[in-house]
Formats: sequence, structure tokens, C-alpha cells
Amino acid sequence: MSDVVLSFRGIGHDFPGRGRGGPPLRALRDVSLSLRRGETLSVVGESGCGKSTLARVAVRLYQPTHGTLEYHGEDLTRARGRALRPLRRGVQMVFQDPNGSLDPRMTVRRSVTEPLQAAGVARRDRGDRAAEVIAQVGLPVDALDSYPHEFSGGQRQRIAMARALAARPELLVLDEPTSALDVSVQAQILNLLRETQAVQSLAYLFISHNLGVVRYLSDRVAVMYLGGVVEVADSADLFASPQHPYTVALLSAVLEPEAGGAVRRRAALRGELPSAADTPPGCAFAARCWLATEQCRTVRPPLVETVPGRQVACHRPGEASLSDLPQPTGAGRPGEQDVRV
Amino acid sequence: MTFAEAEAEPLVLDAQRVSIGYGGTPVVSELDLRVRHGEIVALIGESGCGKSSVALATMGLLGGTARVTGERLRVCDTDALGTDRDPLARLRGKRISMIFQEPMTSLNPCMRIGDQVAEVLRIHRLADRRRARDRAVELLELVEIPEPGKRARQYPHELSGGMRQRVMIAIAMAGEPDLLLADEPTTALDVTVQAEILELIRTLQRRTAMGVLLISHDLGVVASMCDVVKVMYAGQVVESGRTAEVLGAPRHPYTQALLAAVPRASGQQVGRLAAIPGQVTPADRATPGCRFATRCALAGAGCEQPQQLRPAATDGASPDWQVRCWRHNETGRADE
Repeated sequence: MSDVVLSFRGIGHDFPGRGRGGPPLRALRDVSLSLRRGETLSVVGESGCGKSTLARVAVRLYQPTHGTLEYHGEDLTRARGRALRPLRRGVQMVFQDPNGSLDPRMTVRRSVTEPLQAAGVARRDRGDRAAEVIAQVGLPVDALDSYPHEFSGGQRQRIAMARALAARPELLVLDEPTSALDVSVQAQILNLLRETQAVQSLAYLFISHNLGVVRYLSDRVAVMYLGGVVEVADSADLFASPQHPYTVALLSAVLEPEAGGAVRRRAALRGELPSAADTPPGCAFAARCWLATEQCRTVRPPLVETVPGRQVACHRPGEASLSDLPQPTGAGRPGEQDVRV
Repeated sequence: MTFAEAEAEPLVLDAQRVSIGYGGTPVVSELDLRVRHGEIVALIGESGCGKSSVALATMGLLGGTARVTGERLRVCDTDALGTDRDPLARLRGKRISMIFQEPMTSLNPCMRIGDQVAEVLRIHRLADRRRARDRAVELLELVEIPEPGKRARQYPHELSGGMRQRVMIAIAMAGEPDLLLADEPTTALDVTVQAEILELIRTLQRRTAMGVLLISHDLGVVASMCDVVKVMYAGQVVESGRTAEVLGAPRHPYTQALLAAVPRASGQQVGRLAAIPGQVTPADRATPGCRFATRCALAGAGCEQPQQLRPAATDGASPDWQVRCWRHNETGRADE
């Protein structure tokens, strides 16, 4: 068996456009990524960049409109019924909001054993496995006989994790699992994720907009913008020397709780994401990029390997850097015209 | 502005020993909070610590079973305590205004943007109908909304989250307030948009010299925006002082733990995050002693005694740096 658990090959996903004959909304375009056993690949980007759609494609909640999804080398893009079973067991999901993803009328035991039933585990073994995973996520065994409302947000997220872990998956898809939690509780869950991965060589597809969290958990990071991947790199490399101007802008916008209130120079990103239904012909980021040239506005840059293990979709890779950013602009201040396109 | 000059600025919010409870359950106890003209003060803390209740009490918007008591709660020289009728009604939207976390639910979905801004001007009789319409467009321009004339005729759903928050700010600025309350103003926004909105709030604050009370759980936002910070835990302020001092060398174990729990996107990578074990003790089960003791790594004999806010008393520290921990001298050394 190969080391690669899941691969996206040229995945595209369109949602129907508004009204009859409206242009489709291109949520994903030509995304190629793969996840190896035991690795954490994070996907970051702003709302609307397609990261949650990618998560849903990974668990085949969505059937992608283009490209292929492979699980252990097997094409499951259009698989149905029995053929999907290995993926259904091996790839599990944890959602952002545990209040919405746990059935309020099911005891924790039922929620946690349901995937075991689906995976064909004998009834008499399910109870033992439930007790095992609930302990693994740091909850007392008597939690199994309670209902979700009896727990705090952090505990509910632990229950959601126990459910995802129950059927011994190889890959967890985590869609913003800590963004509804307070920082102190978030730290508990992040540590739990790390420990769980260490003991059972689980792969994570981690979706987040919080770059601090991403850095803490990831081996590799993919940065998405408007449905496409603009940069993929090892986590340490990406945070140390981002190559794509959008990654630079994203990193520079993070506010760290350092003393003195000194704000680092931030990229003067004006405006917001263009609509996914009406994307420009060239680089999707060109309209907000301070380095954009005529070429950027007309020719879409492909995602190419610049150094081994590192891919960037930019005509001018590596030219933007955190230490050399345009000043933030405000009303009537100089420089505004330079960046507003 | 030097420290002494700042002290001389008039107070726009003056709360002394203010407590807030809902139907007998205390959520905020004996809070002291002052915001001066031209100053940005932050209240930080996790969910349920009482920070939003403070903002709502300041606006006079706590309804139902809520009870606000205390020695003094003065908002823009108006006494907000001890009267049955609503003493702040005249001020709301004019001298004090507020922006909320979720701009979509705070805006009226059935009303054009421009009309929502103009409404404030009409209610406070700051302009007649025609003048209000023009002024609304000016205000949209003030908050850096492109094509304000066109946007004024649109509805909230036609705008992005960042633009909607700008509209909220325009509405808040309409009455040229002395005090702006910002309750998690950027929590629902992406980081790049967050950066723009914070920049806008700061620009407007400098231009008008209004006081700002910023409520947030995000230490990064607070560090970049605020002059003074108050850290709340379970309804009490546990540490208070200049932002640089409090976040630079925190003295209360909770402030320290909070800072250690934040994963960083820059600087040195930590080995393992220092999570705070357990969770907040509900207010109705609080003991008289330190409320953080059940989760504190330093807790021991003495922590069951009621804790007072005391000067941090470090050489060279400003006198208003206060800590609610009797062992704060040890915590200072224990840090790093």
C-alpha cells in the first residue's frame, strides 16, 4: 500500500449560478494536493476561498465537478454505495460547531457508536471501543450516558473527536475545529490533536483561517485564494519565507499579542475577494496585488515547483517579502492609488 | 500624550464598584472602569467573563432581569444608576454609540444603507431629511466605503462583511460620539479585513479624540489597539494597567496563562501550548476566594482568601498597574 492516503487531482467544483443561465460559482479550480500517512496538511485562506468546499470533497459530501479524488490510489470520484465504504470509514470529519454537528437527542454513547455500526463492528464490541475513545479524548467514561447539552463547548468538541476516531480512521478532516472556542480551551484541543496524531499516525486535513493555529499543527500548508491553491510549502518554510504575495499579505495581517502595541508593517491589501462567479482572466490575486503587472492581469500563473517541496502560483515568486511591504493606506493618504485597482 | 496629560482629559466613562447580576446571579462584581477622552481601553477575557454585560450596562441596554448596582456609573456626565427611567436614551447614538460583532444581524435587512445612517441623524434632530441624506453619504465616505453615493442606495445583503462593519461604524459615528463601545468588532472578519477595520477605528479615534471601550478576546487585537487593558476573569478584573506593561510582563497567573495559550504565527515556535486546565467556575458557584484558583498552577494556601486589586508595585511601573493576586510578586519572577 502506498504512503499516500488521499489525493486530489485537478479537483474543481462548481455550484450552480444565480438564476437560469447565470455563470456557475467556481468554488474550487484545479486543486491538486495529496496527504501522506501521519501528516498534517493545513489549508488556509479567507472566507470564500474554497477551503470548506475542499473539506467536503475530501469526505465526498460533495462530488466534485472536475478532477479525480483518490483514496489509496483508487478513484472514488464517482463511486457510490458499497464502493465508497472504505472512504466512509477511513476518512472522518470534525466540524467547526459541535452544537450543530452532535444530535442533541442522542446520548454521547449513541453518537460515538453510530460510526462503529456503519463500519460493521459487532454490537458487543462497540461499547468497549466507545469507552476507549472517550477516555482517549480526555473525558470520563460516564460521559457516554449524557447528552450534548450537558457539556461545555470544548467538551462537545472532544465528543465530536471521539466520534470521528471511533472507527479507527486514517485521516481526519478538521474544518475550523477550534474557532468557536476560547483560547485556553482551544489550546487544550490543539494539544489533544497533536497527542492523538502521535499515538496512531493519523493524517489530518486541517482547515483554518487562524495562522497561529495552523503553524502549531502543520507539517505542510496550502494557501488558497478564490478557489485555487497559490502556494504549498513545508510549514516552517512558509512561515519563515512566504513566496506568494498573498501569503505575505496574510501573514503580515496577523496581530500578535506582543508588548508595546507595536504593529508590524502590514500589506496594504485593499478591497476584498472578487466574486467566485466572475473571476478575472489572469491571476486571481492580481486586483489586490501590489506587484501585479500586465502579464499578471492576463495570464493565469500555474502552480509550479520553485524549489523541491515548494509550489507557488505566481509570475513573480519570492519578490514580496514581510520586511518590504507597502504601507497601509487610509483615506486620502499617499500611496492609495498605487494599490487600489 | 504623556501620562500626566492623559490623566487630565475628562472622563467619558466612570464606573466605580459596579456590579451586574441577572435574576440574582452575579456576572460582574465591583468593577472599576474609566475611559478618558482620546483613550482606547480594552476589556479582555473569555466567554462568560462579563465583558459584554459591562458594555450593555454602559449603553443602558440591559433589560429584563438585569440589575446594575454600585457606587457610580457615569456615562458622558450622565448618571446611569438609580433611576427607573432610561437616563441614557438621549445619549445613545449621539454621545455614546456601539458597534457589534455581527454586522449582518445589527443592520436592518429591509432598509437601504443610506437610510439607516440617516435615521440616527433624524432621531437626534441633527439634520433635516434632505441634509441627513447628504450627510449619510459623507459618513459612508468617512468610513472609506468606495462609491458611497451608490452604496447608500443598496441593502445590507449586497455588501461584504467588512463593508457592513464599515456601515455600522458610519452609523456609530453619525452623532460624533464621545464614547464608542466596540464589542468584538472584528471577530467575524478575515484577518486582512480585520486589519483594515482596526486601522479605520484608530484613524477615526485619533481624528475625533473620542474614548473607545474595546471588548475583545483577541490579545493580538488588544495589543495593537489599546492604551489601557483590563483583564477579566469570572466577572472580576484580575489585572489592569497600561497595555505594554500588562501584556509585556503579565503578573496575574491568568493573564500569563492566557498569553501562553495563544499559538503564534511568528517568532519562536513553542513546543507544546500551555493550555489552562478545566474551565471557568460558574458565577453562582463562586467562592469568596480567588476565582481562578481551581485552574491556577500557583494556587495554594492563602488563595481561599478574598483577593483585592493591589498595585503591582514594580520599580518604574506606572501606579495604575494593578493585580488581583496576593502572590503577584512571585508570579513576576516566575515569568520566563
